[in-house]
Amino acid sequence: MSELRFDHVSVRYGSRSTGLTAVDDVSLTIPSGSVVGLVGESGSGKSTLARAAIGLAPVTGGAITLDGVDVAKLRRRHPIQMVFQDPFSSLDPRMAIGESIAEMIPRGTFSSAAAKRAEVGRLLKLVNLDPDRAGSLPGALSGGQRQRIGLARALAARPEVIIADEITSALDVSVQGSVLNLVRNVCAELELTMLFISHNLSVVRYLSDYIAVMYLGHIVELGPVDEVLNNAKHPYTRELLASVPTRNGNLLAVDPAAPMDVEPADPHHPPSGCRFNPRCPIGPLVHPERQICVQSAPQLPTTPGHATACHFADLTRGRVPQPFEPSW
Amino acid sequence: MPTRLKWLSIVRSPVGATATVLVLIVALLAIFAPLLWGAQAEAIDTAGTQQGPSAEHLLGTDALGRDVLARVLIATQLSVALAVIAVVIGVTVGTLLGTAPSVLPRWAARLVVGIVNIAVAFPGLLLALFLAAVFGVGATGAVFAIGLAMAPSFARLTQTMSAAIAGRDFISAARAAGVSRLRVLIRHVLPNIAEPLIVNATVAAGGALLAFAGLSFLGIGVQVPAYDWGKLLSEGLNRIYINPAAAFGPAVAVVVAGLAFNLLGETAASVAGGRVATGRWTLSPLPQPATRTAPAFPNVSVGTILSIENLRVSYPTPNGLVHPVRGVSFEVREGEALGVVGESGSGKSLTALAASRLIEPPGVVDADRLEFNGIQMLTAPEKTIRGLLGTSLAMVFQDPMTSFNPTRRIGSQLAEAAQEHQGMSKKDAMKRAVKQLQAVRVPAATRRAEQYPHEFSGGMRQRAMIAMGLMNSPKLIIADEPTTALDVTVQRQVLRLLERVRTDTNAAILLISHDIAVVSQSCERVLVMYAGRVVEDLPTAELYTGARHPYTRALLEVVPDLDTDREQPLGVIPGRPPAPGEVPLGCAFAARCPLATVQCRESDPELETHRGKHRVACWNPVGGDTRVTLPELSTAAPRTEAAPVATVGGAQ
Ligand SMILES: Nc1ncnc2c1ncn2[C@@H]1O[C@H](COP(=O)(O)OP(=O)(O)OP(=O)(O)O)[C@@H](O)[C@H]1O
Ligand code: SF4
Ligand code: SF4
Ligand SMILES: [Mg+2]
Repeated sequence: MSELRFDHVSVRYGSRSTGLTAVDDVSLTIPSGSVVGLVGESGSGKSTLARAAIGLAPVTGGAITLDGVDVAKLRRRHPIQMVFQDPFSSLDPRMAIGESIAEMIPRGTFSSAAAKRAEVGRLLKLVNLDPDRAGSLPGALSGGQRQRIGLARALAARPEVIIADEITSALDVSVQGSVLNLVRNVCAELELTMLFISHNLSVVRYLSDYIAVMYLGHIVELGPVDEVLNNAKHPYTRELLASVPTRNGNLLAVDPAAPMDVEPADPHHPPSGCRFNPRCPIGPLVHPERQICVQSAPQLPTTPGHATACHFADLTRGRVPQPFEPSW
Repeated sequence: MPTRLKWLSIVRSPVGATATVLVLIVALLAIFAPLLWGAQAEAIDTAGTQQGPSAEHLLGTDALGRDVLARVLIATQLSVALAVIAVVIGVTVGTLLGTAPSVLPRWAARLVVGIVNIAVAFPGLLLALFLAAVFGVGATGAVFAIGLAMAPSFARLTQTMSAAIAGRDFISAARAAGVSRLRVLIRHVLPNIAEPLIVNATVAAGGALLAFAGLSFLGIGVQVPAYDWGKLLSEGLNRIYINPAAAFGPAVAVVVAGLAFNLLGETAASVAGGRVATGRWTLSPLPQPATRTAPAFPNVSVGTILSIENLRVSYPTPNGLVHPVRGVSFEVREGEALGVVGESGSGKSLTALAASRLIEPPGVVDADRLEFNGIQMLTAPEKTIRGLLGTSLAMVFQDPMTSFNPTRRIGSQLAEAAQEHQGMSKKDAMKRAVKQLQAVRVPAATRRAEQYPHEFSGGMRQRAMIAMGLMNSPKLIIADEPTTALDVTVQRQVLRLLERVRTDTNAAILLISHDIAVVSQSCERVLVMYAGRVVEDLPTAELYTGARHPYTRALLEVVPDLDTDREQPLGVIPGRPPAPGEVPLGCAFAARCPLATVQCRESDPELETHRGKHRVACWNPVGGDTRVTLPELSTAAPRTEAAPVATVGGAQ
């Protein structure tokens, strides 16, 4: 069992006057052995939430627990490991890849150097790389290979939870697939719990059991993958879905109701009430009587299943509409 | 570049070679001079004291009749040794101080940083004088004084460099695994800052040499009977009117040795920073396609805005000329939206840059035809080209931050474009700038025009960049990955904006993207590039159904979509594209292609018209209705990366 739980977690950077709350009162549970995909626009706090779980961002409120135990108390065991976005900065350029992996093996696990080397070889094989390459420097590897080393390194610590932050966004599409297939197989085989962060909804859909959508530090929608994608209720999620370039979509279509081209909100001065209200196509800009959106922040229901933080979520139904022809 | 090559290249630059030779001479003298001329330097000749230069004593003799030249040569040893020891002390103490904050508890770290900050602000030589007084007069005191005086600047250097490294992900990874701070420091931080530290130490050695000469000259350095260059200099200066050569000798020695260290350090620094041209290039002739078929477009037809034929871009490397773009031909018609897709390194951006003649030397561009709006871009004078850019030809780049001047307001930067090319008055130009910002839907355009680039979000900056391109009614907008750094919602807004500009002004758009779905939704025609060539050119309407090149088919298959089958592994194109220097003889895709034959490996297929506007470069194009089926890849699958696993149904 390894259930990762974020309980009313807040992360605040900087001083009281000039700082910003990158993650604001977020509650999220990743059931043991399942994959939660976290999507949301740049700066919405996805990476911050992930980094808080491994102690690289300051948790200023709430608690993060693994099977009920505060993760801060588990740091000795390092049960949560992360795979990073940039394959070119995530490996020490001067350290042989085998060494980078060996460094993560908990101390005292292996008595002899030979056993340690064998473990490195096993890990390399696990991520479909030739164990003979343990001596190579990262410079000699392609982006996709480096990402696999990143995974092997995370696995070396024998984690229960893997956090993958945009692990394929720096890769070419032709190699992206091999990394994703590998992550999926390894996680299934080792029964790992995973938080998978990506801005690419198609990739998230492929890998995840649940999806959480973040907007300006809040989770605005959460639920099983198909539920959220086929029956998105939050207007932001719907906008996101309509913006994904797909073979059947129509990116150039215009929704005449949407207040288009609004500047993304400033995280230092988030809007009052619902943080999405200045951009919301069903909010106060379009329906002036919906002042509640400016006055009070909608809460994410804690009931299991599909949850949406929007005062008018129940008014939106069905798959994202695409009825509009390009008007110009 | 491998480290060894990098360091070798120091020796190859003229300045570096000079410095290396000088340092070698100094080092040899330091080691061997006392053995060779020791006796001569100590031989007292009471009869011939204080003589001027002569054949016997080239620099004359000193107050005891000893040969000055021999003494100058022998003093090399002590002078250099003192300088080196001082640098070692300075670097060691500096590195300790500089790295201590990352392992100490927070309050102690602050204290150390504070002390370093104060010490850095203190003039080095003053510190040395003060410390020399503390340690007492003599060589030992001087060594410590100069060494410690150097420490603060090394501490600062170490601090800034380790801070830069500490932000990298591999440090985060190590810390997440519980690797101790000290271990992180020793295993990850220090090795990565060693190179610049050594470079700086070399420069510092030159400085230390001068500082010692100064201290000894002042009489608080080396004491009799020992002597270094500074000591000799002060002796020589006492008699400068009797025998100027006696002062001149040690002075030249100090300057030459100091310069040698400084030059070596500077050259090494520029190599480490990648600023030095490395190696000589062997120029090989451009490879010409074996068979020159008739040009794809015999004449530039009416309504064509950009016409490119057999475009090549070449770069010199230490191993000869490479050709990242190898014979690209296409046309863009007025008002057309043309997309270019391909993996990173396929030559998309270089093609765009070459089309607007923005390739910087040492890059070389040549083409059978490169014609924009009736102008021959290859032969047109610089001035004509500059006039085009920003008027009829607009460029939009991935990172608009680098395309704006960060110190000037957005509005006046836009206005400047119109002032320069249209001779508009400042006021009119400003009005037009605001109008264009409104046209690209920047909210509150009047107020926004007064802001600086950093006050704009990424999406807004990209709009402003497009607005800048629109200031002078362009005929062609080249947009290189204009939405890659943006969120999908913002990406959609920018794509819509480009589309609206196109319909409103009939400007053609050349949209470069690595995302085939983006191109398929925003362009009428798509060029697929691979390893520096166009391998397929077809209308986007036919992309998903009629693509015939195996690479295009594979690309379409491997991109996951919102309806990809989750029960199946994702498709993969095995292997990777050849590097520009390693393009094979035949089809560049052959090593990854499931349909490759002997013919494919031996000769490169030409881009040939198949039907209507559809062009394909392939010996075995996939039939119009077959689909590439993709590899079943699992962890149990063979690990060989290059083996083609994809198969194409129906075509076999
Ligand atoms: N160390 C830091 N100090 C101050 N602010 C920070 C720091 N790290 C992140 N932020 C801010 O916190 C907010 C959330 O950032 P975060 O990196 O978590 O976003 P993200 O959703 O991962 O975005 P992306 O998709 O671009 O990776 C942003 O406004 C960011 O500028
Ligand atoms: S709460 Fe109001 S503003 Fe927020 S998303 Fe829902 S409708 Fe829009
Ligand atoms: S020419 Fe041959 S190797 Fe190249 S893509 Fe066509 S079939 Fe494949
Ligand atoms: Mg992030």
